[in-house]
Amino acid sequence: MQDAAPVLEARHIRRHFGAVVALADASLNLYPREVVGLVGDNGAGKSTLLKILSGIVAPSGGDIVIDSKTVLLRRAQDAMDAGIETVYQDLALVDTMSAYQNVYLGREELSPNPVARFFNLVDDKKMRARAREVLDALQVKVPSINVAVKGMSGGQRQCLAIARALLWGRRIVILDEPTAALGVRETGQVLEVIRDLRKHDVSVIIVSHNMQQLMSVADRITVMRLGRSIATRTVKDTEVNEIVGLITGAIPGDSPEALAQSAAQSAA
Amino acid sequence: MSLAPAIETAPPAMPFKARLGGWGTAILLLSVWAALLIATGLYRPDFFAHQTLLAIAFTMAVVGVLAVGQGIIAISGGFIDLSQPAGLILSGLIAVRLSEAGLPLPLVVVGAVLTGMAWGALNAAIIVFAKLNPVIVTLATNFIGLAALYLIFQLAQVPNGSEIYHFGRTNILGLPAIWWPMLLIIVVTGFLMRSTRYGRRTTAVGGNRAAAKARGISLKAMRFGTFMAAGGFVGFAAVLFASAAGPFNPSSASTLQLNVIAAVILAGISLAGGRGNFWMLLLSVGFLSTIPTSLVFFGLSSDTQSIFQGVLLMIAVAIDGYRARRSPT
Amino acid sequence: MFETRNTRALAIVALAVPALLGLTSLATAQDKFKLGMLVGGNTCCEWMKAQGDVARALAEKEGWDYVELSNNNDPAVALKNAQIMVQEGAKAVIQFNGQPSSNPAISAVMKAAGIPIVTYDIADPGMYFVGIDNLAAGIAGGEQLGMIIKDKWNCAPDLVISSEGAGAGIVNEWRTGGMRTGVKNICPDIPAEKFVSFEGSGDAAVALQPARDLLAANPNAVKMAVVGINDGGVLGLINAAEQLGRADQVIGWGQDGAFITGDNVNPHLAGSVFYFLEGYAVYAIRDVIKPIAEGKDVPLKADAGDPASKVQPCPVSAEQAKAVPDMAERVTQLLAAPAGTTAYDLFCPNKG
Ligand SMILES: Nc1ncnc2c1ncn2[C@@H]1O[C@H](COP(=O)(O)OP(=O)(O)OP(=O)(O)O)[C@@H](O)[C@H]1O
Ligand SMILES: [Mg+2]
Repeated sequence: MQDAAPVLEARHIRRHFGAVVALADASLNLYPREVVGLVGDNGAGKSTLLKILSGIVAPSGGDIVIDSKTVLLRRAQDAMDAGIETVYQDLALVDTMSAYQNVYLGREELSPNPVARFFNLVDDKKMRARAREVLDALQVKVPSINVAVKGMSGGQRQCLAIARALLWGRRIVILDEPTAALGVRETGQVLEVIRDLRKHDVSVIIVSHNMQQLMSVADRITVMRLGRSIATRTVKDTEVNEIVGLITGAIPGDSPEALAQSAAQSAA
Repeated sequence: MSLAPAIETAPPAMPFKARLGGWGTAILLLSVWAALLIATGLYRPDFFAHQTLLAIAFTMAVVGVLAVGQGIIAISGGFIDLSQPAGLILSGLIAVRLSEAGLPLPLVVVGAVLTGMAWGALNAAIIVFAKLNPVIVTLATNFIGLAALYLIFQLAQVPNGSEIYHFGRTNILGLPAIWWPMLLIIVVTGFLMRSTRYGRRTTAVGGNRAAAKARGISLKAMRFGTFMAAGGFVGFAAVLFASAAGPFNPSSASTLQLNVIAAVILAGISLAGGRGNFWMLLLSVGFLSTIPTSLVFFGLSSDTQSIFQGVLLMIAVAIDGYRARRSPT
Repeated sequence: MFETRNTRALAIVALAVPALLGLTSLATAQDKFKLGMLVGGNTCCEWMKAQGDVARALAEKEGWDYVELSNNNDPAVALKNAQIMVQEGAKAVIQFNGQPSSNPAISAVMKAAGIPIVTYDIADPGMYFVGIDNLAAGIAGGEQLGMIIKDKWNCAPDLVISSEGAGAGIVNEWRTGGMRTGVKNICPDIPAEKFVSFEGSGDAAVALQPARDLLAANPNAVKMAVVGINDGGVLGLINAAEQLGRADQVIGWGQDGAFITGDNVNPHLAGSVFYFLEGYAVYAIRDVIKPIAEGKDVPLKADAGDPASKVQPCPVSAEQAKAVPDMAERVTQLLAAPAGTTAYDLFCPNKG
């Protein structure tokens, strides 16, 4: 991750909902093959920031820079086109559809045959094969890719949603509390898949309230408080107590200059 | 009906049984249909006759095509389209006027289908732009539409001896001419719904709107697409309807509504959206269309038929609710 | 000086003229007879609208005021409309109430207000009855069909099919039952089991499917006579027979004449019975409303058997019906005819 330019920069993002200021000034950097944890108390603005990065919510101000180019993310599709894949807490999958159909939802492969293509027919064979490949690469285990996902466990569902990112060649995956509803074993499975993503050249932003978990999977952690990003720490140079202190306000946040410095340090 | 629980309680994670669960609807429908046919045939052996086949097939035609339209609305999460009667009468009126003007049948069909699509687009526009519930909107447009139609006409009828008149009274290969397009529409739509990108996305939007939207699928475009497609089928059904109905008035199609909805539910096309196999409509429509004919063979009066249909619809809704409760969403 | 006086005079005149005009018009409005009309308002039938149109035209000819409301084929609406008529100050009311369950209440409202009310076709003890004798109309049509059955099938049909419209209650029994009686008057030896019925709702499109089922369940019947509550119901069975390739096995005779005129008459509909429903106002005004308006005492005749004014049914064969103009044209001619001339007088080709 050294020397590389960030794949994604969020600079001074602001967003209000009527009188409610959800984001006052939030900044975040993400480097290649890096996992960044985003933490903060309830209502700190984490989800809102992620939604802005996914094109679901429009920012009131600030810039989003991807590969050194400022981008406008007006719709979910714009974010996807920019290489950002978002895995939502609960609305990731269509229960009534099969695993491979879910993985390809919105990006169904059309048949190579021009006549079939004309009639909008999809290439199920290819989609099944590719889905299987990707699930194997991430060591995701599902009973069958052909049955409705409604019977699958929460962990399997999260893994499927994450696998989607890899399949579509995304470079950034955003996860909002991916393990919130999962048991211990399933959580382990999902964290394993997240670590695996790194091997496939994918960077990850993950929101979680579980510090232990974050420390085990993230490279850096950005702390948010009341709509502001107040500090960023490298995981190997910090410990849980410091992060918790930053979240609760027991430890004051960094000054803007310090923030910039710490960002530069970790990049260096 | 006792087959349903046996199949449906199979553990969902088992692929083989789950697949059987999908065909469980077919097995269930086929068995109740066969039971009805056999019972009637035992009571009245002359039930198995060409006349019976014709009577049932004619009934299937209009209901089958309407059910395809209704199925598209249901699977895409629009619940039900209550404006089918008004759409059918409007398109039927256009079909009558065009055939009165002497246009050939294919152009009459085009005119009626376009009218149906426009009707669907109107519904979709109100739903999308006023952000209203589709059921409420179609309930209102049906009411307003029929009232407005009554101001335009009280009776319409395709000209005696015209091409469309014969279309509604001819047989091809021993079955009604109007039955074949219904068969074709169900078979082709069933295939397209499962094998095209449009079909996949329609199902996805019905299954989980938010997930579909997050995948970049435009809900508005889908709403227009599904309502216009469904309207097109209503327009086509109107041609079949007008060809055979003789003189009809704005309220003539209202009795079809319940049968169509029952057919969709019995076919396992979930009113909750996101699930269904359109080929099953062939069985559910066939079964439902056989019931009144069978009742007559059993010597029951037509009044009992409405009671019977009401009870059947309730059973269908109960099955649909049972299926929905079973899914652990 | 003069100028001021003139202006004052002008002002007085200017104020007085409209006031006087207003007073006189008020006086005439109070003198003017006001007829209220409650039309049936069922979307099935264009004659319901026409009944209002004819009443309006005749009222205008008499120089009366006219108010019209639609019952929307709903008994509750009909009752509310009656109350509105009282507030409107109608001096007499005509109604067609196809949903007669509210008729007793309407009678009570009218009686309390002292307003005479005429009812078309469906009797109530508190209302002047003007209308067809449905039973007589049924019998007349049935006898015509009976003569065809006698001629063609020697009084031995395989089936006599009734297309019922149970929603119309007693009217259905009079008309459809009357037709069966008429058939039996000509062919008394047709056995009871040859008479079968189905519910067709009096709507050709709705009747189609049950009619098909009935035909399928009677595969061996090849000589079938069809009667019904109206032309539409009978036509439903004829259309079904056409679909099953058995059109030449059926002969129908309808009621109400809705589908026996024009160039789209089905060849298997042998005839129908005209009531000329659109023209009932002629009977009502001639025999009840006008005498009341002139201050005469008109005895309340509320029974269909002994009506205040009896509309003659007019059975016609399809051949004879060709000479009868369609409804729009009949209304035009009826309104051009001298007062009191009925549609029966003008158009029935088969006067008894
Ligand atoms: N659509 C909205 N309309 C109004 N207010 C909103 C909306 N979305 C978020 N907010 C407000 O913005 C603030 C930040 O919310 P956000 O969901 O981003 O917090 P969070 O950090 O994700 O919290 P949690 O840890 O509980 O998920 C909250 O006060 C929330 O109520
Ligand atoms: Mg959140």
